[in-house]
Amino acid sequence: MNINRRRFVGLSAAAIAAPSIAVAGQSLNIVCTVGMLADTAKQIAPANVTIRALMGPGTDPHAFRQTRSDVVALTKADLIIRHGLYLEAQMEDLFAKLGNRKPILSAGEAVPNHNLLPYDDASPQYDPHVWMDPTLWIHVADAIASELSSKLPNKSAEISQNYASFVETLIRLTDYGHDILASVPKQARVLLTAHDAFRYFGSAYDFDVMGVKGISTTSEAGLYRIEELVDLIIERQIKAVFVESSQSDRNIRALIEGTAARGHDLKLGGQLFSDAMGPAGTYEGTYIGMIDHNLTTIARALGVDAPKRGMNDRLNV
Amino acid sequence: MTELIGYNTALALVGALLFGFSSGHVGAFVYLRKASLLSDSLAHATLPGLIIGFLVSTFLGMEEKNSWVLLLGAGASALLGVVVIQWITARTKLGFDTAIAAVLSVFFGSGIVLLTGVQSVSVGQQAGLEDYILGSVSGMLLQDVFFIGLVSIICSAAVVVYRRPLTAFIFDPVLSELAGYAQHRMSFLLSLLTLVITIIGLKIVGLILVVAMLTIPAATARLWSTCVWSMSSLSALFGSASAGIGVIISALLPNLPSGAVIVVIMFIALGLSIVITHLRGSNV
Amino acid sequence: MAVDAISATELTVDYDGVTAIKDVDFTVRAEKLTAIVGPNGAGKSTLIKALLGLIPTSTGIISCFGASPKQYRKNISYVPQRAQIDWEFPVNVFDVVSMGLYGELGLLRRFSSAHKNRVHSALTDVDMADFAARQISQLSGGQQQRVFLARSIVQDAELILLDEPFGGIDAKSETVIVDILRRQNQNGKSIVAVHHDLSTVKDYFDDVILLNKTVTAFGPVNNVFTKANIEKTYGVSNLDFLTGCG
Repeated sequence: MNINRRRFVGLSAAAIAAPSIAVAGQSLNIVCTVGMLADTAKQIAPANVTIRALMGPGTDPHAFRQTRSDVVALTKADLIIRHGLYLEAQMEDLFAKLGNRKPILSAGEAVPNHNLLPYDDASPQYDPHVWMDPTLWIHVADAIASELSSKLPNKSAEISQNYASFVETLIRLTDYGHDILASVPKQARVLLTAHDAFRYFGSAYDFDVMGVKGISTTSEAGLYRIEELVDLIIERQIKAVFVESSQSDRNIRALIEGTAARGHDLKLGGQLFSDAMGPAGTYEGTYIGMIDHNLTTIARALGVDAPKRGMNDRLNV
Repeated sequence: MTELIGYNTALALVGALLFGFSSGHVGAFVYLRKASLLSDSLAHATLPGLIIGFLVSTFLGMEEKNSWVLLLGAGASALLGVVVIQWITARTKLGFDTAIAAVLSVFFGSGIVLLTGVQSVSVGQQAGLEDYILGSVSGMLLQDVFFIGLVSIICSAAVVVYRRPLTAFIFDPVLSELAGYAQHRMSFLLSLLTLVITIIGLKIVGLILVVAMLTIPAATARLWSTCVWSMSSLSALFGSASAGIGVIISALLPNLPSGAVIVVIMFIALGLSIVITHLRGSNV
Repeated sequence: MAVDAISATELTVDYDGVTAIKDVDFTVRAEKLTAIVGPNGAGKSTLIKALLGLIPTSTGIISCFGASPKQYRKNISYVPQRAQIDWEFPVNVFDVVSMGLYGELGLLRRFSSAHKNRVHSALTDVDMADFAARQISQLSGGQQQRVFLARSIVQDAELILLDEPFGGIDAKSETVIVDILRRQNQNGKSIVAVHHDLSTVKDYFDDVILLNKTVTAFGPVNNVFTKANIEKTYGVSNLDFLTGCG
């Protein structure tokens, strides 16, 4: 009892006096931007670490506008984990200012440049959607594990163990994806979604990927793009399109109508998690679950008899 | 492209042509009544209702973000805006313009606050709300075009049927009253038509640009006409043509938001008209 | 004896928290030319609005030819003050006069050649037939006033109410308009006008109503338009030069 009370007083004093200094070895208050980072941190961190994400399920990080309470949460954090690579485009200024007094880990930038895909031909930026490829996500997990170990040195053994176990699951997930998608013939390896978030999936699994909107969601798709895609769908006989949890499904429905008018039966293959995970507290609300769901849904929509409940038999169907 | 006009473009074109026609039609009378600022205010006042409609449809468990509920919400909050404007004008010392400006800023501001609040609700698809703020011709579905077309035809028909009392009401309200068309009823009719055009315009050009649809074709037509009938017909034609041309251009060139292109076309038409009629010598 | 054109009893109108007119009693004889005179702020506009049924009265009864104004409104025509009209409105002379027929035409009845003839005839009565296609913004003050008179004429209303018909008009136009009004009166119309020029009241009008929030006097000009009554209405003295009576 005494030890706990001392710990409590120490924590409070530290929290009030110098929030940016973690009470050595005791606990940590981490604030992440996107859910995928928060979930990954949760898998790796020891107990006594509070982790929260600013953006919930279904929130579009490209368009996210921080509220005052978000800013307050960030200023009270011991460690901020953001994705970087301009995913949280609206928050760049805020992080620049915060970076002077808070440790900020730009976890997405841990992925080596040669693994990153360019944003487009014109700009020097990178496509930020790296979580779509679990092998790249290993770098992110590694960066988080290192950061946690340096902040909680006497827990580093536990952290390493969690990290190793998480990486093992990532590798299993990658292999699962290759297995179920192996039987999809070359000309059917096309993924068409609401916005261009799946390029890393495409390069990892050898798929052509297309989004109605571009990498960022903040502009209208444009009639030209819709017509262009309708032509493409007919030409390549694409069977299925996918909606996303954090995007309006209107453009996709327009595609389905447009192709139907030309006699092509385009099916809705399902909903994928693109920029955000599934509902909190569910399997799909974890990183592993999110990717599992996406891989399984895509494979099944393309006619593969993949397990309905996914790799871990835990998908909600 | 294998066909001259794709299905999606054809849909968007029909919707835009019909809407442009009726918004030009109604806009002529809004212009003559000098109520263009009112239409801007109503357009901005739709925002809180849109968001509340979104929340309602989500919490009622409607699978697709239900368009009808959103539009109903938008209409309800714009209607509330009308009521508040009337109340402020009638009951306080503040004038009509002040009331309009107040409603515009308070409603739109509340909407922005709600919008930011909504994104932390753990449901999906908030991004769809931006479709209404910016318009999304590209995502036009068959049901949308039916609805827009139907409402547009009704609004245009109303303007044609009521052209005499509306003209009389705007020009000489006492005459209108004595002829049997009460001022408050005619004023309400015009406000209602403005409201309806604003609501359906949300899907085509978005709430920020809707006021352009009600103002620019009318202003252009005024330069060319000397009677209300020809002005309103020309305004309808200008509105329709601009909307149609805007849609075609945005279908032919990549990365062009259709709503904005429509408004640019309207401005070009206005600019040309100003130059030509000025050179021709003073019109009226 | 014809039924009175207008009969007002104990009329009180409260407007914006102020009592604009109080306990107003008068009658307007049918088929006469009647002037309403009074200083600024006397409530003349309010009285007109109340007579037209545009604003509610707090107390009192108004009747027009024995019926309430609302029942009778299609038989009243109103010529507004020129300042109240939007002269930039896209409308020509013919169209303005046509509006006088809107009460009859309703929403959808076709504007036939019979209606056209009536408009032309009214324009001829005011000597504006040549101006039918002219935009109203291109008219002089006197011409504008005549156009609105033509509108009243085409309506063929029994009672014509005019609000300051001679405001800002040159002398020649004024004479022309007075002639038109007299001709209409001879055709059986009752004319009531808010009039600002005391020096012409006796020349132009048969009857007068002197108003300053309440009616000081009303009746035939020769009886009622006296120095004493005028001074009482306007609250000043020494107005010999205006009345022309000692």
